[in-house]
Amino acid sequence: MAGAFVMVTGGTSPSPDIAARTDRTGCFRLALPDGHFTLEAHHRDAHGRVTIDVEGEMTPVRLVVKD
Amino acid sequence: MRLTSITKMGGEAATPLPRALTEEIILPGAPAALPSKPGTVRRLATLARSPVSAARGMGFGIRSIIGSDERTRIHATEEAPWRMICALEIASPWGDFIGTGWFAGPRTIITAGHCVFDRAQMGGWASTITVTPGRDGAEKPFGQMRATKFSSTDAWIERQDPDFDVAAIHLPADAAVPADIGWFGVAAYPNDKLTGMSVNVSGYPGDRGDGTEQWWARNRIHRLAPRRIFYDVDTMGGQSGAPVYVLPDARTPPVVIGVHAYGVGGSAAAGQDLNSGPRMIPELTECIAGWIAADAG
Repeated sequence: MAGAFVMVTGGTSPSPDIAARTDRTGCFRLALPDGHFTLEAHHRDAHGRVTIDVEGEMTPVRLVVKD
Repeated sequence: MRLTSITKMGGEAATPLPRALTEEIILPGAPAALPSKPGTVRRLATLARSPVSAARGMGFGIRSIIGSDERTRIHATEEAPWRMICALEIASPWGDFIGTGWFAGPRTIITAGHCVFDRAQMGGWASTITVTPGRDGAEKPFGQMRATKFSSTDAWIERQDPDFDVAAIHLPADAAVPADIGWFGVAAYPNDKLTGMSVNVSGYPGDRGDGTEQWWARNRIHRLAPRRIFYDVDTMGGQSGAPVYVLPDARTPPVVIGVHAYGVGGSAAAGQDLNSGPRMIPELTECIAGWIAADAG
């Protein structure tokens, strides 16, 4: 989904309180330290949530947004 | 080249502790920054209370909503101090983001350093930031301004030091900034003045109105570090850069004592469920004064 806002809502390490906007292809990028995090995506009345383990250089995340 | 300045703060690679703070160091706010109606700020606490609640804890870690969600939507964004708080739409080489900023001078917006520069997340400096003071959904009572000139501290640019995660957005000379919009005061207060104080944080979170609605909350300062301030005020992604401010009295414009930056604790060493941001210390107030002076000159 393009134009959704993705943010960290919980985790085991600190992270900036910024929100990333998904691009035309629905992709986003957030820089996080190693640890366990909850990400949320919001777009109008739709939202989604995923928990991830970040370790190493890149952690692919699939976040599904539903009404 | 868009990178126009890095403000040196006089330190070398190892950041020294801030000098002992025994007196208040204040950059005054604008007279126009006074709340339009005495008591307005406090009365707004009863409006549009969020129906959303979040259970404390999620089974691990720390959260930026602490206990139930106590944020309140601000609708009267054409009034002070709300109009001095800006929604930021950030375009960067690696993607788009949203954040929050606030007027510290007629053409100077202060925000978090990571809203203008983040090597790992943005690919370096932001390309452009669209600033919308007092945005309320589709309403933009003071229009929008586009900025391409930013500054931050050397400690943030060179070391990504969270204690100095502060930046300025310099509005262009021809930006149509309403003359009476006003600006916040900025103050470095000693510990004994800050201890137990209630602080306000108001900004533009991404989980409400897609970053177009201003949400405010107030709660206590829980912990003070030499360069950081920790509080249990609810925030969410998009509120980075929001002012952490106090209201000294009805005759004094609101005074910013910190810049909100970290929504889920900000410091593993703190060991507390607290949001946080860089605390205003003399070095930062001097840095901000320099940014304001440069924009005025």
